[in-house]
Amino acid sequence: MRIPILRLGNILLTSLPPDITDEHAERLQSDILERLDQTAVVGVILDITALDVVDSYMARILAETAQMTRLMGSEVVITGMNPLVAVTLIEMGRELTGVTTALTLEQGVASLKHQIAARDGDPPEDPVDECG
Amino acid sequence: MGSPSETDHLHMVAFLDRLTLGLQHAAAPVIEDAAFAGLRGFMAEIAGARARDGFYPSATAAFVMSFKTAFIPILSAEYSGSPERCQSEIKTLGDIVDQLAFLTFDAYATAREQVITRQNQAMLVLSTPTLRIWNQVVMMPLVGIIDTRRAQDIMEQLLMAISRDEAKVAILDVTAVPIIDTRVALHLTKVVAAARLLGAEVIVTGFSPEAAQTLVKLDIDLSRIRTRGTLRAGLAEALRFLGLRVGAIT
Amino acid sequence: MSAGDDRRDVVAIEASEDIIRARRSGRDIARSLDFSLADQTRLATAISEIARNALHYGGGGRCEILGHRAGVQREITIIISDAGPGIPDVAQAMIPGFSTGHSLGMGIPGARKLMDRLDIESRVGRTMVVMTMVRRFTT
Repeated sequence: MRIPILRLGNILLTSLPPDITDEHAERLQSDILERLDQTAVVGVILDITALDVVDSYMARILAETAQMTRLMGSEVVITGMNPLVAVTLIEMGRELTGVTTALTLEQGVASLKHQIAARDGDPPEDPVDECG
Repeated sequence: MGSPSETDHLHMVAFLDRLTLGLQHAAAPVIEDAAFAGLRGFMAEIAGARARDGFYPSATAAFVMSFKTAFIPILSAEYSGSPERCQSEIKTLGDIVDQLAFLTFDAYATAREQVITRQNQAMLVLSTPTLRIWNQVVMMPLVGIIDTRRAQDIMEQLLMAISRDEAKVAILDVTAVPIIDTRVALHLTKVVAAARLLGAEVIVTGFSPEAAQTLVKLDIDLSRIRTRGTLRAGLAEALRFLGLRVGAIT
Repeated sequence: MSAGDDRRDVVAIEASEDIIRARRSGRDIARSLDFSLADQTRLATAISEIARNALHYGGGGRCEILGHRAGVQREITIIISDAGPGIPDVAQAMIPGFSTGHSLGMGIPGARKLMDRLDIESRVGRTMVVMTMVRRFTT
């Protein structure tokens, strides 16, 4: 099974299936990087709505993917984290530092556009507080 | 304790009925015997009801032990001709009452624990309400002492509210929290970090002058937490964060 | 209080799918004992952490899940064991940030924070992690 990576304009979008195995997660990581190399996208959205468990291993995969993507010149937003998964990660002492998150896909896309615009020096399309 | 009430009287009659039934059918005079099942169930029920009604455990124990004082003169009169028989009968019945007293105490403790757990749960729900006060803004006013158990609950409730209302800002008002020390501050930083994982910002409002002094003197780094003095200022900050503004109608 | 209220399941940990199977079983048993969704998530995550250690370090093992109900108290015990080389320094493995080269070392302190109790017994050829979560409920 290969997890599909969709392209939406200049953004790559992928949704992690529930109960994703370690092997599939690692394969997804390389697939995303490969797609970044082939296409001229500027942002990646990793949607984790379906995950009801994120342990330190999966947290590491997510944080690593974000770092690697950034090294390749794109921005990453993780969307749809289950609130109880967030509680559990914080209680374990895992913060996903350096990763941008958004609650919904819509907010994720907006956040990504804003980040890219801020990075490239263009004024953002929507006036949002600079802390956003 | 005064004279027995009507309920006590009914209880005593019911108790004696079940005790007699048990003694007639039991293979051995031990409370675990199946013949005493009715008696055990009845006593557990009474002890539970008394616990819920706020009786002291000593009052319930006294109720059980009073049978001992009651049957000794009766048995003595019955077996006046045979002191050995009298002794052994007193011992048998006495043992049963003692065992019953233990059983009653356990039942009492279990019932009390249920009462306490239920009250705790009710208080937890009461103490952490979340309100949607604007589009994408939720608020949680905190009242009272925050211990680890409650901090956990606050985090869960607030994150569920952020998720449910698709909030981008959460206001945590601590005006009515009497003690804000290192532990509470640590809990607050965790709540802020957890909310960020959902893509939401937390604004903490209402730190008292004492809390501000304590936190700075204890050298706690709250630079990552957005704070505002009052709930009003916090709401204004939340709206500004969302690119909104409240103005006069002209 | 009767034995009928007890639940038990054993999952062999031989591949990464088994980690998922073990944590799902843990969640099911926690749900059947009325543990909150948050506690179900904590428990499933802790199982995931330790079962993965058993797979990656211990070369596979087994995960036993026991649910027990007694009066107002509900208790879940997880026993995860493997026949691997063992954890050389158990005390150190409990410390957050300790790593054995990979960040898999994160697993133990993380799981410990999510559970009420976590104990490790380890020697060459036999490692056992026992975790418990206890809650009180009104009936």
